[in-house]
Amino acid sequence: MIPHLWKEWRDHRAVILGIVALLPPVIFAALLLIPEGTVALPTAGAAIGLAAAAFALGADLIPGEVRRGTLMFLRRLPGGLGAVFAAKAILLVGALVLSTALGFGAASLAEKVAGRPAVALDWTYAPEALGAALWIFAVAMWLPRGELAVPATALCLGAFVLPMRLLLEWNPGLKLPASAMDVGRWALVPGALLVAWLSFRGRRFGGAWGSAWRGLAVTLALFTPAWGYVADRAGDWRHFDPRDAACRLDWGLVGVGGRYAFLNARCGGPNHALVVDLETGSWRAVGTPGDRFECLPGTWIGGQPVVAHTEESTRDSRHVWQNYYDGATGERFKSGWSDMRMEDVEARRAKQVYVPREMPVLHARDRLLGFLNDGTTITFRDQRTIVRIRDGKEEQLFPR
Amino acid sequence: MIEFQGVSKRFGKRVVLDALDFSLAPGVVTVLLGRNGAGKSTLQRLCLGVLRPDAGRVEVCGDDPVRRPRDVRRVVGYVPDKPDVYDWMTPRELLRFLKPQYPTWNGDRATRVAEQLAVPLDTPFKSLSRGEGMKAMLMAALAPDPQLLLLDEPFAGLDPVAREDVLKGVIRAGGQTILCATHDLDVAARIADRVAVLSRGKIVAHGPAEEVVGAGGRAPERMREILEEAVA
Repeated sequence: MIPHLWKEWRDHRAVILGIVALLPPVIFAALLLIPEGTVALPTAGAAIGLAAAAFALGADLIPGEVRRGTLMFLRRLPGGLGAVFAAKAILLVGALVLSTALGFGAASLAEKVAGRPAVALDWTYAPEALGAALWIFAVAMWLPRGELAVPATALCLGAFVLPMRLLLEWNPGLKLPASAMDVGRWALVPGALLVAWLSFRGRRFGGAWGSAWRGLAVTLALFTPAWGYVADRAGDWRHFDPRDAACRLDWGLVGVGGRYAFLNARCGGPNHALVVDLETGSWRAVGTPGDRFECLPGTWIGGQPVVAHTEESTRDSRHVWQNYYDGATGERFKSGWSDMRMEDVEARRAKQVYVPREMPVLHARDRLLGFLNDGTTITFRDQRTIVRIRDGKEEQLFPR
Repeated sequence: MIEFQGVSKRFGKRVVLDALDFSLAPGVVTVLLGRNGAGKSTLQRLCLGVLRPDAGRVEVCGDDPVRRPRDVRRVVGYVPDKPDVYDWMTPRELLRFLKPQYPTWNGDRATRVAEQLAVPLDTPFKSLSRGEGMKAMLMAALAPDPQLLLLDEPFAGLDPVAREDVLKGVIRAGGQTILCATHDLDVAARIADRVAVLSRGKIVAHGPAEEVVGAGGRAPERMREILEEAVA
């Protein structure tokens, strides 16, 4: 190991000494020029230092060997690739720590010289920053040229984040626990070293392709649990079964004839719009999670009482997509963009819900009695069930 | 010392070694002849375990170089066709770097070879001539007292004086098992106990040097004949 460490130091000492000599004065001068309050200087200095070492050293540790034709020399050494890799990783981590410390020190000095109030180092994005720096090292192994390492790392980490970001976008309100986020962020650090090592081992018998395929496969294997976790959380978030103990019925309407109820319910996740057949107890969720039934003006069509079901998606952020359901049959009979601006809908919600005469409203939260129909009361019970009260007898209609 | 049984190696669609059978006895200097691209370097890299055969079995000094590369590389010296070490490194630094990796390191031998070949020990490789660099590589390969010395066209591109120096270095390594890949018939004539001719991924001739390449000035013609026979 010691000869390899010496070799790495000797091979890269010009870069490291360059960082040591140039980085502090450059950061010091640059940060002095930044207007006060724009950025926390110590954090900015540390970030610049980390990035400098990652770009200058991490991106070139392996591509440099390829470029100079020395990789074959390393590959045939009896010590194997393990010692070679360990020396490179140690040198890189040491250089990252040194460069970050120098950046921090220079920025802190700039802060003092400028007479600005001391700001503590912000560690919020430390795992991402360190992880990204090490991923540059890992991704560089797949490439013939170190210059491509930074954009390729951005692509790789973007590909990691994108599916999770999309899942969160598609499930408004879904939040990941802070502990899970921390595990994912910190896992980037050892993950990068693992991918780097296995990618480097891929060089034993061949060139960049073997390394890239192996590295990508390991990367995929590393990313998959994170994607799976978020997908599972999203699945839980979207999962809906009104029989679950966690489910609550928030609001509802009963259509003409009293057979179909149109409910808004949630099981700890987003709202679900339900059409319930009160006669059989069967139910179906309509639309997508997040949709809800609303009572809107203009639902009185052809004398038939209907319920408008609106989705959250908007065409141009001003209109809502509406599905109209027949109150008597529970079937959808019309869809289209509303003429109403979103703000109007929100305003109307804030004021009061429009309710046609024939359409009783069940308002669970206020425990208001919903509807009297031929001496029958249909109402919520404990926000979990719908019951029918007739002649003093109570019958549970939903869920059954 | 070396045993190849049905070894095949391809790069993409190009078959470099095709079900090759080849063996090398201890203490024998064998010259591996073949045209450029015949697979001589591939064969040597298979011996070092830096390439994996697609089929067949390779055994070097009793070990499988793919499964036990460390054991194999510790007893095998290798000289590439050009110095492929760090250009800032001096031959002395190269020896210092390699020494801990070889349990059989023989510093005296390294010193002796350096003196015999007049290797400038404290000049970085980037400042050495091609011949000096090759002599330094030969010195580094001999320093661990290897059981087997692999030479991958070490004379290519050298001027006559440097070529002669390197050749002397190889000859002085007498008693060593050597597999020297070259397309230089003069080299074969001067150092080889046995000659193997590699063509189209197969050994097309293998035997005592005088039988395979003939004596004296007939060598080039004989070589041509062998290769033409193989192509036919």
